[in-house]
Amino acid sequence: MALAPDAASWHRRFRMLIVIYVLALALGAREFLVARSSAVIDQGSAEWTQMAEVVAALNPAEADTEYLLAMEALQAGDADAYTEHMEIALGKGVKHNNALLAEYAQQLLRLQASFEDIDRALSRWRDNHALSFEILELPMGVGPRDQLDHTTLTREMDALDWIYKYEFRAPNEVIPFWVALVQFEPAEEISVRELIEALSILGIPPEDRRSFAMRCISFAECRVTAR
Amino acid sequence: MAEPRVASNPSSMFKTGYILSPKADLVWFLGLPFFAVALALGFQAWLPYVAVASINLWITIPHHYAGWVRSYGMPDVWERFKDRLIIGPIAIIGFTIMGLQFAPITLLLLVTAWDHQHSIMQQHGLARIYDFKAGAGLKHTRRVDLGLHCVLYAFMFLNAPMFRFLWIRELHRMRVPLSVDFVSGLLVFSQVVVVGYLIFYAYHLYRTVQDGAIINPVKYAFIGASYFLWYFVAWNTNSILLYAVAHRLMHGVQYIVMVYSFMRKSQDKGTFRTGFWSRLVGPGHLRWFLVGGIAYAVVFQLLINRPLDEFGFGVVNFAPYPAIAAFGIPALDYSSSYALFSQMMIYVYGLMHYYMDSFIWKVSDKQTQKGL
Repeated sequence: MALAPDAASWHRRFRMLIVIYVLALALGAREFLVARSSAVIDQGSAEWTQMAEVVAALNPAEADTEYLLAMEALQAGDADAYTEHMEIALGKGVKHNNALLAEYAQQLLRLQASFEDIDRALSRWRDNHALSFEILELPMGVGPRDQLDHTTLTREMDALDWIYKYEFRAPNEVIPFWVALVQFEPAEEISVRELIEALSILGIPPEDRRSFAMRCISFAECRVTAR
Repeated sequence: MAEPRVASNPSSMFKTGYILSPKADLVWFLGLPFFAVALALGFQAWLPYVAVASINLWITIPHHYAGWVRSYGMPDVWERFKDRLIIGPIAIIGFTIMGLQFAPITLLLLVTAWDHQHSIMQQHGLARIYDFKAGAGLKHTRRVDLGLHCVLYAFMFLNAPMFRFLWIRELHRMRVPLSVDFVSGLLVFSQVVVVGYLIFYAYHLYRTVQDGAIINPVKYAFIGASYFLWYFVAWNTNSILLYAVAHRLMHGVQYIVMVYSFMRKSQDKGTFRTGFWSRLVGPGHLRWFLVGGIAYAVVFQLLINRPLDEFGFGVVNFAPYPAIAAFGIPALDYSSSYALFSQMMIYVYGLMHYYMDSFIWKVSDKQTQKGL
């Protein structure tokens, strides 16, 4: 049995699309014009700070609010407040916020926390967002001084199965020291101790690097041992 | 599928009518929201966030497939809405491309807003079927019901902390700064509106009875169950995981059930011409409808270049192939491991072909000879 043809007028038939198009054009044109006349509002801007204050007043005790406040504290250079807000957020069992979980692991790396704490934070992030390819930055005590150093570092890093990609950034005006930029393989257990040991290989004289390796129990305590 | 049962009590202003049947409705429309919340709580407690992607693959993507079958697989529907079914996708793809190029925040807001409107409309539509089946309500009850859905949903969207955070953030990013006082005032206003509308709705029910029309209590049980899910997951969580899992489960499963039930009844009654859809319904065909949904999800996932791991709720992963030092074989990274898996699939299919051909083509076999 055939249905009656749709005899409605064209504007009735397409009213949903028309409404969507009009809304999209109006809002989109505004966004397009505003975006080209001023900077993007993101973390670090005054508008973002104002937004964080509004959210904090209306949504206290929410994990995402604590994350916003933590990042504001970091911008202001208040490390204690940052840690406090992050720990409150994490204490709420957050799983959805990729940026929060990655940032916390990054901050523990910056603070040179214990390997166990960093591994726990990294695992929590990677377990929930296995396909996230956020880049973590790790300050290096010593950077490659020549091609031999570079080759050695590359060999050590390549031996870590759980590292997806890495590169070494030379000192610049903003960050006056060498930094390792690291991305992780999905679904692989991470051991930051292995990473630190790989990056510390330059602390061994070139002629001994084949026979000896660094073994670390913390960022500050590494010693040369036979391979 | 059984005809809807309408049990009436002449001495009462109430009359029950069901979308499918009392038992089926209890499972799919009245009980499912509670099951979905319980499952989402379990996911929140025990599974990683990847589980949201898994629910998307197992439920949301197949529910799109059900929609394709319902709209493009039924010749009568295709002919009736042909212009919309052709122009609509072109227009939507067009403004999505433009949005990604020139106004990404607008596109995000539009997708989010339309998703919410679509969610409201699905529950409203199902509630309308309850009234239709029971012959309940007044002529304008559908509009009053739609108003109820809009008010209740908007109240949740404005007041639930999870949503409030999102719209405040996005409005700031669009340079529409909001003060605490303004938002607080807006929230108070929304509370006044919701209370006012509930009073108005109660008056509408009173008028319904006064005018001699009847009320289907199952509709209100359904609306109550739906809003229990939305309100519970919107207020009782620090994570969008809970909302995403529970909502998608309810929305997707109810849609799939409704599409299949519609096609099954259409086939039983012979109300639509046969087509692709009629191959998927009828005795023994449900499995093909479901297999089609899963196959669609697999193809979709491969098309958007996302890994099949996401089917596994974060429990099943293509772990990288470890190094075999004894043979000097280095470890493979994730993409190489996936390529190895793909190669393995090619081998497996080839091997199965070799194996099956070793016995199905025996010319000496009497059964084979019959086909030659």
